[in-house]
Amino acid sequence: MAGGPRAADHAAMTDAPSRPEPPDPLSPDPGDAPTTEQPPAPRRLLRARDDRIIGGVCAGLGRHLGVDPWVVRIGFIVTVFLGGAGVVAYLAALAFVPEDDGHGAPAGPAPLTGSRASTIAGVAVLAIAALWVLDGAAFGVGWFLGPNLLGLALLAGLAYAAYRALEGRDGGTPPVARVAGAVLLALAVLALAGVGFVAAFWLAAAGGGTVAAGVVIALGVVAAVAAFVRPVRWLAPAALVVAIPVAIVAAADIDLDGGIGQRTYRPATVAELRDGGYQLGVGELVLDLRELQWPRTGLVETEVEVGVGHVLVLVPRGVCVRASGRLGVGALTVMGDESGGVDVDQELGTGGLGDAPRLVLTSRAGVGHIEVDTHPDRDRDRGWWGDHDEDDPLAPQPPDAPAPAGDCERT
Amino acid sequence: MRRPDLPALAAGLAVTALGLVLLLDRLGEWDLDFAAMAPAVLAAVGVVLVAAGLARRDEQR
Repeated sequence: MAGGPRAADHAAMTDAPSRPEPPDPLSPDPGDAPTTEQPPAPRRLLRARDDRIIGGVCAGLGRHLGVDPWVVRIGFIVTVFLGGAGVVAYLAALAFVPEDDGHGAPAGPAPLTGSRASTIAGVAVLAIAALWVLDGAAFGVGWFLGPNLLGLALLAGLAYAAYRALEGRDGGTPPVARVAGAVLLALAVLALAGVGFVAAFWLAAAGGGTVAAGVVIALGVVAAVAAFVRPVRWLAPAALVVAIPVAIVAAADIDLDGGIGQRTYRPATVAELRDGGYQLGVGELVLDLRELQWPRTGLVETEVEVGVGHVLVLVPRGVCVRASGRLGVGALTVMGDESGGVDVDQELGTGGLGDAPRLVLTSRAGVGHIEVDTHPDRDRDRGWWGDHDEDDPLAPQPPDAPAPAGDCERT
Repeated sequence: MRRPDLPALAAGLAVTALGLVLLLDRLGEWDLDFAAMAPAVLAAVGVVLVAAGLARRDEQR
């Protein structure tokens, strides 16, 4: 075991720098000895002394991973603009990863000279400034460790895949320009697929689902026929880019009729209620019935539908509600009681359909949330749909507002 | 007749079958929800991915 990789690793882990030993004159010529192929000793992560720009972290990491140091540097630079996590990682590496002594072993601790202390302090101040700017003080949004990390992870994954693919094809370390070119190409293909996905989604949701399905069939047939002549391998994946959004639209029954945006309706009488109900394609639909003059019969029936988005039906306190909801993906909430998930077909109510004023609501949503409440800010308090300002007409009724006669108990 | 490229043929047929399912749903013959649609889509995606892997393996031989 003495000459194995574990021993070599142990030697590398010690703080004492290892020096190449002079050849022993009594030992036989290495060329005459039978050679046994030894596995390469694992390389320890060290900060490079040469080829460094700041602290040798990127150069050392590049050597450790067997990639061009500029690939690592570009990765760190990207993290500065897409989340800033790389700044913290760089400082941690600068603090904890030892420096290379020039022979592949860790060097002893460097004396803290005035120049070195000034450099460390300067880097720390710059990092704090960068984090402060990127963490919301400048852009108003939290960038640090925010959702941009997802994009960063995607970019890093693409770069790694491109690097490994080029390395396998060329048999050596690929130059940075080729890796960057491959990443750009992959991003372009992803962007094209994204455009196709969104276009197919809109086409299907806007009533062109039959056409979109026909396109999928045509692409599949061409791919199958081409298999007999000259296979076209990108056809089937391209067909899936169209098929998947069409399948989502079909499964959720998403319908974009009604337009896009925010709609608020406040009928004052039952006669003002729309006969066909209220419909919206994408966005938020608010049906405010708090000012409605409830009929003598006490019963109000209406329908609401949204393709993708949020429906909020506001009722006066004391009104009994019986709401049925069909949703592809989402939730139905009635006075705080919620039922949600996939393929939701649910009826919720507050019971008591006697003489009390009552609302019978039929609702549908492809992807979204249907909510019936007396208080418009219940979800907004949870941060789901943003905040309303004080002048918002949807502001909650004051606690002493008169409630219609009757009361409902939950069922 | 030339022997077909089997992975490409399987991928094309899987996509065609998925397209037919979507067409029947859109025409109102079927009314598929997520519970039925998700396995169909996953099956097609799986066939296409396996076919791509087999095709790449054949090219490397």
